Amino acid sequence: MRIAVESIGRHSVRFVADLGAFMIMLYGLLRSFQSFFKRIRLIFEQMLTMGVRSLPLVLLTSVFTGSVTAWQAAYNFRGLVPMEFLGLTVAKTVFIELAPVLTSLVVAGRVGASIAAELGTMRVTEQIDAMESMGIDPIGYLVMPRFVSGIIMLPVLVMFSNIVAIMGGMLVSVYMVQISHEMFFDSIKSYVGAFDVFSGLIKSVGFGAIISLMGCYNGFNAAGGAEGVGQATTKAVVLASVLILISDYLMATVLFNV
Amino acid sequence: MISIENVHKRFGSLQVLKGVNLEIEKGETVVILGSSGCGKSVLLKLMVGLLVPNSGSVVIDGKDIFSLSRRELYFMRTRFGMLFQSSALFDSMNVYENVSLGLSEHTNLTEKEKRKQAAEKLSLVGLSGIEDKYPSELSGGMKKRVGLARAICMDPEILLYDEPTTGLDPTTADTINDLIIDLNQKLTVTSIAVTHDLYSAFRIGDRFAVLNNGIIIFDGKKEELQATEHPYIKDFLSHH
Repeated sequence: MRIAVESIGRHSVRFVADLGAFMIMLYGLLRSFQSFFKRIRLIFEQMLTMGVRSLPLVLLTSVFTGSVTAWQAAYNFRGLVPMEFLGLTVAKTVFIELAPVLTSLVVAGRVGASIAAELGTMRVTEQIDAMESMGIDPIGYLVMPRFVSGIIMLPVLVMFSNIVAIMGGMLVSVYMVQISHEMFFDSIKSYVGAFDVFSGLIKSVGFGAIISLMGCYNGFNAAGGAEGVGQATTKAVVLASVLILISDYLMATVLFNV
Repeated sequence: MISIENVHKRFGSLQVLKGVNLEIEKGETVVILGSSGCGKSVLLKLMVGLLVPNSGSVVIDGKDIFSLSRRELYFMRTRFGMLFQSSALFDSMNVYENVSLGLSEHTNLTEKEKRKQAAEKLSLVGLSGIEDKYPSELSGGMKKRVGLARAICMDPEILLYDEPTTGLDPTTADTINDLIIDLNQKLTVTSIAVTHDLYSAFRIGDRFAVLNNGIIIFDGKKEELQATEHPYIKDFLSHH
């Protein structure tokens, strides 16, 4: 009993300390926007790393996401729902849920881990201390460009994901389920609105913030050499993934009235 | 110039510094000696505000650096140059970008002027023409020298050396010692080095402070250090 209470106490203190440190980093991040224009080059570099270089993986994930959604929908429609609604089902599922969430999880694994490992290595090899000793704010130099890049590039990746997933769904619908592509796109045009697309993009802005902040926070607070960097990287990906799923539910309850 | 007053620093339950007092005058080279893990690097990091003491103060030219605003502290740090134990070169930047980062951040120099200044500093440390190389392509000694070039690029008033010769072979270590002596003469800076390498310490230092068990147990000239009867210092000197 005593051990359990001690463990709860220790974890609670750790949680509050982590939360406090995270808030301090957020405050530093807000303050660092004063130097936004000075950091434009770094922001573009991060956009290239986070966005352009993640594109092949995101596209690969998306084409199969769209394809399997079409196939599963067709399987479940048999004898119950007309196949003319296949396009609508694929599009709504992809735009609102699958593209933003799956893209974010893929990017969390690729980019979140890379941010945490890079900043963690910089922390344990004293590169962040060196930066501070030179009178350079490491939050402004390292965190802000990654944060801005995250909230800009995630929606861009989701847009590409939407397009490719619909193409994948269309190919399965036309060549496997044997409906015409006019039928597939007609139901999308008739029933899918701009809100369906934008709601997914809005969610992806939040997911981009989560991925970059978790990567930066855990990397920034890495300690204890290579093992510490490894732990920070794992923690960044796990926390980002869990927070993406929780915030996805919370944003869904706000965006969509049932 | 620098006054460390009754500084205490604790990490969790480990009390590293237990009331350190040290005065450093402008232009002198002070070497802080002590065994590994005694808190020498912690003391150095406290001087530039990278760590905050639990109590006590670090006063530079009459101002306690821990009472400065964030902006003032960052500005004050531009007066320092620091050579880190691991060199701490930025992996993602080439040598030129490493050396000129301070200039890019704190001055309005043109690219041509920055290149000229970085080349001058690299030439001072005997490494001309390696501007486009990355830290991963350099040897340990070269990394130290690039770190030194980066530390002096902003023409600092105070140079801090954290274990400048640790991990280097004797020849390269002596090259670094020569460079430190040469730079101190050419740039007329105040230098503080922490090391457990006595040979290096005696080559570069004017004055010596010995840190043991969280306090400064000796502060004086080389001859006084060698003549002291303090058992820890006698033991330390005999083992190095």
